[in-house]
Parts: sequence; structure tokens; C-alpha cells
Amino acid sequence: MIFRNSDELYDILGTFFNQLKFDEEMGKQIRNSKIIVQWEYSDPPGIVTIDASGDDPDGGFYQVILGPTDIKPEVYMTMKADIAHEFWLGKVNLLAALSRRQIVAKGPIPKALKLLPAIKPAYSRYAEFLAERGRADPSV
Amino acid sequence: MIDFFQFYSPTRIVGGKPGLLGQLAPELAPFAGLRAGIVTDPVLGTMIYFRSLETSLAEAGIEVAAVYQDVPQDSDVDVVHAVRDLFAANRCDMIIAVGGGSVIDTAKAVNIVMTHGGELRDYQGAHILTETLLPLVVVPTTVGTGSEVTMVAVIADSQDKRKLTLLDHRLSPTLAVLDPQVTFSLPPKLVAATAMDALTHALEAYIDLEHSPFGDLWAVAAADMIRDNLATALQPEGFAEARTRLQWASTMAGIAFNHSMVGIVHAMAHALGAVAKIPHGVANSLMLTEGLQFNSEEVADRIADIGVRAGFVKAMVDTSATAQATIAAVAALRATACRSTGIPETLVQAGVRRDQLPLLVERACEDGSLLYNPRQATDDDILQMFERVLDG
Repeated sequence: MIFRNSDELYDILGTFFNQLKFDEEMGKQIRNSKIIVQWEYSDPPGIVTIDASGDDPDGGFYQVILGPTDIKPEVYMTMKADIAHEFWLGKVNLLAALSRRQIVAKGPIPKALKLLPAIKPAYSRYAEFLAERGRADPSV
Repeated sequence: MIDFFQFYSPTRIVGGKPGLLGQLAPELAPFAGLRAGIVTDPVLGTMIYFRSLETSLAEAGIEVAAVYQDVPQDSDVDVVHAVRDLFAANRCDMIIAVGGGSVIDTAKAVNIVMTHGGELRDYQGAHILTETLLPLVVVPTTVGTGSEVTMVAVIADSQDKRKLTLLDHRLSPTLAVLDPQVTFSLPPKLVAATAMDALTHALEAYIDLEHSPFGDLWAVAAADMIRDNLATALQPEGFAEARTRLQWASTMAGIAFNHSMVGIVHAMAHALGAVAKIPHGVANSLMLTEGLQFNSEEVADRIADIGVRAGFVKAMVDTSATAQATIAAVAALRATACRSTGIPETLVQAGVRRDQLPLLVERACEDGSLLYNPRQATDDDILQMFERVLDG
């Protein structure tokens, strides 16, 4: 497993998403979509929700909620945490992953997937983020 | 190098001479003792072949417990729930669809809510079904849907003029019955429009991001068969063999796009259906060459390749020239179909108003088909394509 436990998953992915929400380009496009997406991870378990339907208390373009929440997502995806890690490194063919059930997506998927071009810069940012934290190769 | 592909086509397909529906008892025998709910439309329910199917069902020991014959051109969530209520009240444990894409997709959607409960909107998504579905027997009555062999259903949500996409391997019908007889009473307009739908399936499946050598075979065979038979199928007589082959081609194109999905032409066609109520085959026919032209900047090689393999053109030294010749040949085939039957050649002829363009663009841009398209499209790209087809 890339992430040793849920705390580490929230620490890495949570911190990364919370940084991204201040990004002018990506953040704006996500907010304009007004989407609420929730990812439920396994191995280790974790839930991350991005709510772009309203204001973020921290002043970002969207709100990041770590852990269970009452907010009802429009799009809900489940996957292994390792797949999420690979995705944010830009190494996952999303269409193939959906077809192979590596990612299971419920809801108006196109609305979420329409954001894919917008979030492409996040892939290199994630690699940089991991390197900054001394996690350039988290699988080790 | 292709990243990943798979080929899975679980539907049993049977075909044969005209009148097969009246001799279908052997193929229906596995469902003996079940109570069938039949989904169809107001016209098809009165056809002679519908009575033939009922005879076969009785012979196979299947009771027709309920018939719903009010499925409209673009079925929606309310229709699905109405059929579900009817079939549940009559304790149906198998579903039979006799009709075009709207009827078949309705039957698939009914199958979901009957076996999983709740509302259809809860099941938007990909591969989220968990329960075994009821047996589904499908009799396609057009030459275009392909839904008889796909894992996809598209149902309108009239509340917000969007379409719900339901995708799951479990949605693939159990049995598809290709009786040529059902195509003989089709008006030429419907033959032309649905054949253009099937041709769009084949061409988009071939050039899409998820194409594979296995899907390619079906796409090429379908496109070739449509090219070779469409004109004859539209003649006032002597069309039996040609329409039979169009029926096969439609199913083959369905197998192709079940694997690589469709692209930008369908994104625009879905929008035209949802916003302006344009029949799906007509909508695809209207936007097909625009979509090919748009994609030719990215995948000229694939367009040229299917053009040659399906017999539209001879290979030239220059790939781009071959792709352009392919698009021109497809446009010529389309023009023949339109002019001999009177199906619209412009959006205005189809009843689209200029003031609908912004909503059409918005809906097309959020359509899932775009994800499989080889070239990324902006809102402006799509607007320009609609503009070019608006009034010729």
C-alpha cells in the first residue's frame, strides 16, 4: 500500500487538495462547475469530499472535507487509495479504469470528468508536493 | 501502443429468415414458466409480427403478464417508473422489448429499478449495479440502435432536459432476435435515419480513443455493409435483402461501440434530442460529417483506414487526402439518403431555432461521449459545428 494508514492518506491527499483549492486556474474551474465530488478509498480507508457548491471557510475556491460528512455528493467514486495516488500522478487511464472497475463512479460522471483537462496541471504538482515532503517514491 | 482493451459480448444473437419471431419457441424455451412484461410502442404493438411473437411465447410456456405500449420517441424517467409499476403489479420476472432504441433502453432501465429498487436517477454511473437482472429479450425493429447488444441505456430526464447515462455489463440483453420481417414495414425515412445512426456508431467506434483490434472488426464490417446496402434498402421494392443486411450491420455496429463507445457526433446528437426533440438517427445524420471533419485534424489515419477497409475509398499516398475522401464519400451517402427520403439536411429543416444554440452547446459539452472523442473540443468548436449545419 502506498499509504500506510488512513492518517497518512488524509495527511498526503488532504493537504494536497487543500493546497490546490487556492490555485487560481484549477480552483476557479472547479468552483464554476459547482460540483460536489466524494471519493471513498480503501486500503487504507478514507473519505475525501470536494464541495464547490458554496463558499470555502478558508477562502479557497472550494471546500475540502476529510472523513465522513452529511454532504450528499453529486458524483461518488470508490477506488483503492493506491489508484488515487496513481491518478494524481497522471498515470491512470481513467476510461480504462472505469471499464475495469478499478474506479466505480456513481452519478452524472460526465460532469466530473469534464474537469479532467482543467486538473491536468495537478499531476505534476502532486509529484512536486510528494518530493517536497520527502515522499518522491512513496511506494518504498 | 494500446493501453488496455477487452472484448465482452454476452448477448446471444439469433437471426434468420423473415418470420423468425413466429418460430422462436426453441430460443425462448430457457425462460419457460416466467411471466413476461413486454415493452413496445403504440405502432409496433399492432403489427402482425408482434402477434407472431406472442404465439412463440405461448408455445415456449411464457405467460405475457403485462404489455406497456406507450413508450415515446425519447423515453424518460417517468415512463420507466410507470413501466416498473405495471410490471411489478403483474409480478413479471422477465422483460421483452420490441422496438427501437428508446423502447430497448426503457426496458433496460426498467430492469434496473425492478431488481434494485429506488429511483432511476440513483443509478446513473458506470458499473455500479450489484444485483442480478431479469432475463431481457430484445427485438430491435429499426436498423440503427445497436442497443440490443450493448451495456448502455440512455434515458431522458425531462426535469432538466438532460439525459441519464446508465452503463453496466449487466445491462447487456440476454437474447437479441434479428427478424428481417420487422424492417420491411419501416418507412424509408426511418430506414435512412436509423442506418445513418448505425453508420455513426461504426465510424465513431473506430476512431474513438478506446478503439481496439477486436472492436475494429465489427465497425469495419458494419460500415461496409451499410455503404453497400443503404441505397437499395431505400428503394420502394426489392429491398428485402438490403434491409436484412442493414439490420445485421446495426447489431455489428452496436458490438463495436459497446467497446469503444461513441464520440463528438453523439454528444451533439444527444443535445439535439434533449433540447430540440430531434430523433436520434436524424441528429447523428445531421452532425456526422462535421464530427468527422473536426476529428480529421487528430486522427486522419483512423478515418482514412476505415474509409479504405469499409470500401468508401481507395487508399491514396497521402493519409489526409484519404481521410478527406472518406468524409466526402460519407457525405455523399448521407446526401443520397436524405434526398431520397426527405430527412432533414440542416438543423433548421429539422426544426432547430437559432436561439436554441447556446443550450445545445452547453448540453453537448457536458455529454459523456466527448470523453471518448480523439480530439478535445471547446464550447466554440461545438458552436461552430452547429452553426455550419444550421441552415446549410
